[in-house]
Amino acid sequence: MLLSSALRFFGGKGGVGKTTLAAAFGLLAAGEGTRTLVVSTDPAHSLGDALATPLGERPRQVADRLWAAEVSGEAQAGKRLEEITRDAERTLPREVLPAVRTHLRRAVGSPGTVESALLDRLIELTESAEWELLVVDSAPTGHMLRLLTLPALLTPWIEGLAQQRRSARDVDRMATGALGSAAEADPLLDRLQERRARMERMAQRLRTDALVHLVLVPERLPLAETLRTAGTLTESGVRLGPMIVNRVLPEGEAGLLARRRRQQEEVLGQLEGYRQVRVPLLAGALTGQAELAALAELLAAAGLPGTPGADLR
Amino acid sequence: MSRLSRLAALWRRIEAGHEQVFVARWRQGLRREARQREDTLRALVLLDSLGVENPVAYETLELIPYLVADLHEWHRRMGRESFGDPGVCC
Repeated sequence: MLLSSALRFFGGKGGVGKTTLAAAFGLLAAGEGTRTLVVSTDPAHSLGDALATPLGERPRQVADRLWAAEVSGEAQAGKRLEEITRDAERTLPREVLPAVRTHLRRAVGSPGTVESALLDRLIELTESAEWELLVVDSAPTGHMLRLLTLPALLTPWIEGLAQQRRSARDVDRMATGALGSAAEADPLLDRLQERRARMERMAQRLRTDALVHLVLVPERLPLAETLRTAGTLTESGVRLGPMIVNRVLPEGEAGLLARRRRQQEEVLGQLEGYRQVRVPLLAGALTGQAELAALAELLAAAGLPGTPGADLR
Repeated sequence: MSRLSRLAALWRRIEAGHEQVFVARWRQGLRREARQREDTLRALVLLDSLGVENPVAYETLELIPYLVADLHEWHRRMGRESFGDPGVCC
């Protein structure tokens, strides 16, 4: 059975430790008995490096109850293009195929396709019953925002296209006097409705089952971006989980580190009012499962529960 | 011819005239509207070929084969072997 909050996004500026934290969180959730898949959607994947194992498009089991994958929009778009071309070759007259291929290639090259395809892949993964929790190590902020708001943006557009097709057919049937006779199948309309339903399911899941953890380090630039993102996400109806403040300096340092610590305090002061989990600056390289497990323990101790049903509100 | 059958014939003529004048025109109007709606849909899905950015290009990929096939059928019905614009159809 799928529990709520079965989708966790880790987002934030580049270089703040999203991947490491997402991997550690996945390990924590798996350790608590949840079948978990950690997915990286960053075009510059580093999840495989964090887990110290090569990863690809297809989820690979990396530990007990833990799977990982590095997915890309390009690969998904390529896969879909191939499927559609194959179907077209089977069903359409030969003379139209070159035109179909030209149009398909052009559409795939259209801006926005990569993100849409990435979302498509995520929908595929969330709709698989294989995992109880999907942890998304997402690309830097802009990408993630677009990914999270895409379903709400595209659903009405697709609905509009379906409406256009429906009314064209209705008017046509009226003209031929066939109104009232059983509506014949329309593969085009069926496909539009299928895509729309799928997109709507994802929009719904993002509102109800998804939680976004914004990751930042206690410095001024990441702080500004994090606060902006938090505002945008809340506006678009996505729930925010506790922020994760990474690399917080320990107290009691002297010299340079003490000065940095005071600057950090200033930044941390501006985060008051947001639920947050603080992760201290660690000495290790934080790659490989043993070191990630130590980080997972820190997360658990800091109050970031791994079970998807855990109430974080 | 009996009066009744003359009346019936007249009725049929009136009906045929009505059909020609009103119903046919109405049908023609409807067909035109249906065609326009189909053209709009085709343009929306094939936006890229008009050089316009299409935000749902990926979502409507599956429609392209159908729309191009529709277009093909249409220009064949109109008695043209090729569409003229090789980028759009044959």
